[in-house]
Amino acid sequence: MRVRTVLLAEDDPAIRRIAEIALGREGFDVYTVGDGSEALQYLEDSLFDLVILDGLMPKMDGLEACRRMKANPRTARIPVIILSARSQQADVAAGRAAGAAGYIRKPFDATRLGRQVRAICRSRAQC
Amino acid sequence: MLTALRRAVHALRHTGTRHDEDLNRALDEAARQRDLFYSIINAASDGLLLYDTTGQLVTANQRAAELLAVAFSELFGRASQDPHDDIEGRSADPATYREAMAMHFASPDASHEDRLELREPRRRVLRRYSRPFFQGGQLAGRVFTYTDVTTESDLDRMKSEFVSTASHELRTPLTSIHGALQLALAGSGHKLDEEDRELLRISLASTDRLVRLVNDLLDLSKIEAGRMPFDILPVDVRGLLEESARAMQGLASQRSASLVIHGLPDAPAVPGDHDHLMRVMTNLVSNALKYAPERSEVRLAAVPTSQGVEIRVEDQGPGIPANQLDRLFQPFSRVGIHERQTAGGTGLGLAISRAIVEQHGGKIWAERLEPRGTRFAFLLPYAEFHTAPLTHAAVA
Repeated sequence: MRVRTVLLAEDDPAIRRIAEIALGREGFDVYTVGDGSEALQYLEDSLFDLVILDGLMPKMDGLEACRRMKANPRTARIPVIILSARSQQADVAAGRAAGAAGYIRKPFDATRLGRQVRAICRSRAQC
Repeated sequence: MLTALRRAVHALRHTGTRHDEDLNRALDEAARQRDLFYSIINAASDGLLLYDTTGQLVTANQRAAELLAVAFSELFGRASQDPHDDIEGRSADPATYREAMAMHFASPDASHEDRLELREPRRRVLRRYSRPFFQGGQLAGRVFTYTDVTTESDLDRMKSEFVSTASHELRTPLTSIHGALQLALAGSGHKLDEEDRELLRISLASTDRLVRLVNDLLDLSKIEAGRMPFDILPVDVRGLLEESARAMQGLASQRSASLVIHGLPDAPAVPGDHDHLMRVMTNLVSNALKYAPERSEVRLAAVPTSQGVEIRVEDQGPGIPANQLDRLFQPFSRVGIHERQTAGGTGLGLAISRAIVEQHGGKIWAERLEPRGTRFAFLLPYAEFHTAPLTHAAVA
């Protein structure tokens, strides 16, 4: 399935907008929210091909939102990418344990973000 | 000792000797010496413990009892409990307390230094230093001094935490500026006139440099505070040299210099973090290449010594004035004539290298070579490794 619609949860407005533009240029339709609980609310009404969650956010962080998505049969099949400044092996492992399909380290390269997301999607049968 | 002397004098008096006066004078003199000795050791601002070769405490000063928060009399083990049981229980790292003490006694002729952190009755960081003492040319035991370095340790931690937080806070907006500039240049570059594009490129290059600087600052403060994870495995030193030579081959040809590996092919493995050590190597090699004259050699060598493996990087450049060699490892201490040509560096490379080597329990230094050139060397010990310095703080 070709990924087209993306839900992006990121609390920093500047980074959110940059990621939105970068992904838009790669041909994605991007919808943005400010934290994990907003992302879950959004997912109640509409489904997306892919969800990108910032690892550290107020109210609900990306890992928790990912776990809840995977626990809900309606959203469990949507692939999740965690975007995080915490880049130790243990953090990546925690992302995988939460059910994420991929992990992109921050600071990300704005000119490569779209291609990185495509690459993760290609490497996963579920995307 | 004095009591024994008094008893002897008393006994002599009864035998009717006529040297009473001499004996009394000797006795007074001995008492004066004793008082002088205790006055001096009790006036010291450092704690002092003196052990004999069997590990029995011979004498101590008041300050030692105060710093270790033990009743003075208990130091001598007259109480039912060994005072070390109590100190061990209150130390920040009880598991290694005995081991650390044993290290002091392990090589009787050498001096030894480490740190001891106590949690109770209040947090206290002590620098513990010991050296042997001799009587009549014979090894008689070991003197320990304890210096209160709590304030220094707190300041050090505050500095590291401040730098770490500040770098972290700087990084977020910087990342946005960097990303925005990249997207602007990549996406709408063709719509801009040449001058605007040039201005964007200048901004991007400067932001690049700022990002590197902030990242290096963050890394340095993390390593110094012991908050950077180290993955310790046996490191094949020869392999490390070869890998760094391969990694720097591009820069070497750019500078028309050659990288040559010397030293024994069978240098023993040392415990270390491969990635962090590669960072030290690439830093030293790229520095050497920066100063290497055209068509000269930069030599890499591994030399096994009694304490560990010494790794050397030598260039045939103009050399560094002897009085500046130590300053090299301070942050932002660019030395020499090439400083303006090294715009790519952050001025933190050698400070980071030093921090990494010190986390391995090793040391790093620079030497002048005759007739020309500089040798950077670092020693990686065979065994000892500092996993958690005492300034260890909560993870940011």
